[in-house]
Amino acid sequence: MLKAILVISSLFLLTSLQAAPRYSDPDGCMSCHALEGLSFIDKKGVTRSISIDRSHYYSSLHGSVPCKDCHRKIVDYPHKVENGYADCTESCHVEEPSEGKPYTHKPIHKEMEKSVHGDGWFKDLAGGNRLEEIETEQDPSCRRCHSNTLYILESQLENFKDAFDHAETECGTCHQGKAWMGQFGGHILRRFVGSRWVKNESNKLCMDCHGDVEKMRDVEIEDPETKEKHPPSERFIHAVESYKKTLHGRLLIADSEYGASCIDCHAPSDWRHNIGHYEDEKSASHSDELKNTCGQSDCHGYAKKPGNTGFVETDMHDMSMIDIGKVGSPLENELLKSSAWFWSAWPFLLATLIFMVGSLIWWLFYRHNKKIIAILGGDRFERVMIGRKSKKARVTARKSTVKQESSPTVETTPVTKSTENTSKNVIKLKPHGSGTESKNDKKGE
Amino acid sequence: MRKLVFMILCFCLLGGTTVHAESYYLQAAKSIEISAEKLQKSRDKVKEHKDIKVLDELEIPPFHKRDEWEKDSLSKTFCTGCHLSPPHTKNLRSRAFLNMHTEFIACETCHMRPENVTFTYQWLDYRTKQVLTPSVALFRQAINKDDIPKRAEEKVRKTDVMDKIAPFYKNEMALILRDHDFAKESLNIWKEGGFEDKVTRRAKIHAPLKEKGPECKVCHQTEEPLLDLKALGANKKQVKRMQTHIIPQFFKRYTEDDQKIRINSLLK
Repeated sequence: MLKAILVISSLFLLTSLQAAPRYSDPDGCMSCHALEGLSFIDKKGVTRSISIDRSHYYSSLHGSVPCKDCHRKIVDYPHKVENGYADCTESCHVEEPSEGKPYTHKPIHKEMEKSVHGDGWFKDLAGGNRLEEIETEQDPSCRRCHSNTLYILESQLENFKDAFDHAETECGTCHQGKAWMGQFGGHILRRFVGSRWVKNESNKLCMDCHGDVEKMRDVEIEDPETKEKHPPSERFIHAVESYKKTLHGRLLIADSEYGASCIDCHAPSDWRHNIGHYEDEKSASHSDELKNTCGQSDCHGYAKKPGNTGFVETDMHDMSMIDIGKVGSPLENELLKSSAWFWSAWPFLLATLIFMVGSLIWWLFYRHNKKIIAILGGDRFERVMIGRKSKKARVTARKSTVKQESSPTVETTPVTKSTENTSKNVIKLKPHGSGTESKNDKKGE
Repeated sequence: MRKLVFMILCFCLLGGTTVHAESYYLQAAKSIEISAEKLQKSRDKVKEHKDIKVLDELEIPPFHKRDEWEKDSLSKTFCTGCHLSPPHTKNLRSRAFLNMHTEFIACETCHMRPENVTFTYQWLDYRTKQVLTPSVALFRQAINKDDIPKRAEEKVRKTDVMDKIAPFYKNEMALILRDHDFAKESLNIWKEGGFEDKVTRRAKIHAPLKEKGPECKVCHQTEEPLLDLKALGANKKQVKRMQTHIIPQFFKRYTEDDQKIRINSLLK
């Protein structure tokens, strides 16, 4: 009897211990997609695997979301490609626990579309159009940065286990109900680990693209005001290299979380997708906003004080700190046009050309001419430096001399008091060649 | 006389060349007379042929974690010297499922089924060209821990995609692999030969083969399946799972190539 009771009770225990599958597959998608080795090569040469790792999926961020919440239009097989398109801004059947509303990524996309990455794909996403996105779109789509990873990243599992040791009781005090705990326990407990992304992991998302110099060279930058597109600056192209030279970057490379990640400065608030152009007034990297960006909590609080405004002028992408080596042929058309040196050299080149043409003309026609041709300032030079009359004065004097030689000489003598009443000067006539030339006349020659 | 016998014995012992009979495939490829119609078909195929360059991993990864197809699986196969690997690309409905089978089954098992010849089917190691002892582990699915062979060298082999069920004729491998002279010669013709050389060789290669393989139900059925799974080492659970699998049941319901069936209906 005792044996029978033991057997029955152990059977009961065993069945209760065997956990029922946590998530169902209401549409039966996993009947096929969980099979291993389902692959083919599509027309563009992309090897496509359609086998989903089931256990990974159920432990992932979307593990609670039935397939059809994203791939809504799939009803038959073979699937029409466009019926499988996922739209990340749709709401799903999972409820946001604090408000009880269907969960959606829409607020994040609203922020994203106002950012410099605003044109990135957020809908019509399917495994089959990844190549098309790569070939046609420079802005990142949701999926370019975010794949369906495990809820707790593998690198954080140990921290999570530590947190889990005491968290269940504490959470359960307020958040009652097995179903709720089952579904969102991981989410709540994950908070104990801290930020989902460690800074180096979040930086990797940015650097996977921005660290590729050749790819960045092909980017077109849109002016926030005029909306005109222009090639990127060398500063933009080498942004990751220059960042790595700063203390922000170097601390993270040394695995210290005291450094600042890309989005710590470029998207410090809200959903952290609002990366703006540095000339956009709303951007965290705009010069007027830097005091708040640098002075955010846990960073450089003193940057907000009026006396410390100089601090925010520190160049965080200092090009002089990196060796960019060969950045392309200096005679490449685009590079020339974007170079300030090129444009500022033009006036100098023009002046040089005029000088050379002038020199040639002089050498051909005037080199044997001893006469000095004063172009500008010659008169003043003669008067002040040499101390003789100006050219104009000399010509006038010469003319008057010629006049005197062709008419009777006029001599003036002081007027006596007796004749003062009739006229001021008495004109004396002198014969020519008398040799009594005045001192002034000699000087004037 | 004694001297002569001694010399013959020595020759055999010191590595006289062992003469292997040509595989069934090669005999058939060389002996089948190619009709004008088949030659014309081959001509059309060579004309239509467009090389597809298989791309490396894309910089945008798949959103969900995938179970990848084993790229090495067909690296020794004669067919993938020309065909893509995985090879099935055209039929939307079946291509992925057929490619999945290439991890377990030789191309010739499905595509070489002569009417008057009976093959036997055995597990073949494509690396060593050795016939493998039938075992539960070779099926790589639904394996209990106890089914994994105890011997260490066999443990390693349990997930080896180079082991495939292949046809044998008179206890000889009925197919050839990529390192065979005929395969090398064919590849050379395909790369450097003239148009008509390619046409003729293509026709010769495909002469013993059928473009379309058998229906799923030929194997996935309980009554007289093509492959004797039990003899190949499958246990009862594996045999039942393969013969009554739900996917071949789906496929039975398709009567036309471009037919679409509601998934809900398929699951019922």
